[in-house]
Amino acid sequence: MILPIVDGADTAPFWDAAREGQLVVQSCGDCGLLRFPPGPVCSHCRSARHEWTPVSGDAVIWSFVVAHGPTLPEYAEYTPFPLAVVTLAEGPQLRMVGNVLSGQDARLNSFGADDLAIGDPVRVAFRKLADDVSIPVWVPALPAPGD
Amino acid sequence: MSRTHAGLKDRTAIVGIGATDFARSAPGSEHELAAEAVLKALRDAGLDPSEVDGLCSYSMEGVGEDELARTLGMGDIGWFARTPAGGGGACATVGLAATAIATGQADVVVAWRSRKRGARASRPWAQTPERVGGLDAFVKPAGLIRPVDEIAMTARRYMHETGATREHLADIAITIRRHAQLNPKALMSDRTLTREDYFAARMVSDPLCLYDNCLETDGAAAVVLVSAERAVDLPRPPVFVHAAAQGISDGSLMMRPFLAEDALRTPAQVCADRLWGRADIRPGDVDVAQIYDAFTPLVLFSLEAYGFCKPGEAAALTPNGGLGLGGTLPVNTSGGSLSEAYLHGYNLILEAVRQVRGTSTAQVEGAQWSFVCSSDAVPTSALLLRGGTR
Ligand SMILES: [Zn+2]
Repeated sequence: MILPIVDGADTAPFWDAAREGQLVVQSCGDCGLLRFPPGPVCSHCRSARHEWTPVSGDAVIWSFVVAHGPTLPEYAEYTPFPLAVVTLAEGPQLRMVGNVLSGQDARLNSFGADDLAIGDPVRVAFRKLADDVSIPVWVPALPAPGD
Repeated sequence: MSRTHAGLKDRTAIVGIGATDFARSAPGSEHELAAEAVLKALRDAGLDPSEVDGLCSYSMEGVGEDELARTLGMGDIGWFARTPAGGGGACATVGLAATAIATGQADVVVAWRSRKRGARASRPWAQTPERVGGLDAFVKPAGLIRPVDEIAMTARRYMHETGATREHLADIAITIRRHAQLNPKALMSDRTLTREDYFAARMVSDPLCLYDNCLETDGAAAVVLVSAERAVDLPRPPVFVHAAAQGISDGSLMMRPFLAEDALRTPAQVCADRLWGRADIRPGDVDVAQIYDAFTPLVLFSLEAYGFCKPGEAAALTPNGGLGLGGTLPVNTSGGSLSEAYLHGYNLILEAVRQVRGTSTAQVEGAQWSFVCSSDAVPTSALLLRGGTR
């Protein structure tokens, strides 16, 4: 698998948290706006102060594709497999790319095109790719009691 | 002011075009291909290489300005520039060249693109390193690796919101293939594409199949620009640069507009606002359009962004040959990126010129206003070209 560089100065806190099973995004140290992907300055108030804040891990599918080959060898054995862009519950400005799986340790192709729909609720889980790397993945959310 | 500034209007013209043959695998280097295309364009313009004093290409171009100038004996070069964002920068090379000439920084500018991408091993995605940083760290480990995956992601959302379907994408691929069949230089000139073929093809990144993807190609293409005053003394009928524009939409990132909050407000919408603000005509006055088609959905995005239909209604233009010769708006009349050649959109500029000259293999009769745009998934650019007298 392609792995992220996890010790970059701007992004290490994200990967440190992911290894601990927690999803974090940057929050502006002045106006509080949440942002992802990370960046050096708040696009709203232009403050350079920020901290990393945990988010709920709830999201909905904004869109998805199902990747067929040809692709890189380490992904080819799983084709076709779905890939999604999700919008986090904390705001429409927060989008993440990830696999949609039946569980954090499921195969990349545990779902097909017919199993997913735009707007489906999902929840974050973390998939360990290497000793130093866990990445967020998305698992369909069970309806809350009473739904 | 800048959105409606007409400072470039008709002040420069494209006076020469040239291209190599297009192939899945050409024997020459990019350097050789570039030299051939540029020499052809200068010969077409009736100008000697020694008269060139300006050069413009893409930031991704592999052939240096210095190499090209030395190889072709151009002598001293006084102006050069490059445009970013891969296929989004095609039209911007012409816009920049026109700006240089109109502001007196150069007299004869060559703009070009050469590429060897026919072999799969040469594709950038196939060379992804084991560890990736920056934005890629949040995108590629999941397996979102190829440009087609990125386009398909935005495309499914667009289809969801507008009701466009794979039938409309098929219309685009089939119409553009028909145009290629009229063009002996097109890679797909002798290959038919039926609706049955389209739906029988393998998926590449669902909702996109094989025929929604362009042809990776080896080849080069070039244009020559001079001032409008000088253009009238040259052998070819001048093709005036009536308007040029660029655009980056709020929050969108290269190939990943889905990270912007308003992800379907594409870069082309920003570019369109400026292009039409600087032009004497409206979208309905355009005779023929060359629309960046590395992937079929980009045609829908651009048709809508540039105002050739109402918002969300681009799909209604595609059925019944609406984008073919004799249709509402003929597009990609040489076969485009899908069926002529994929040269990061440069062959589209040459075809836009041929239409105004009246020399296309799929000529729109009496075409005077020719539109061409670059990739609508990245920082983009567009041109409005016109024929006739200044
Ligand atoms: Zn702020």
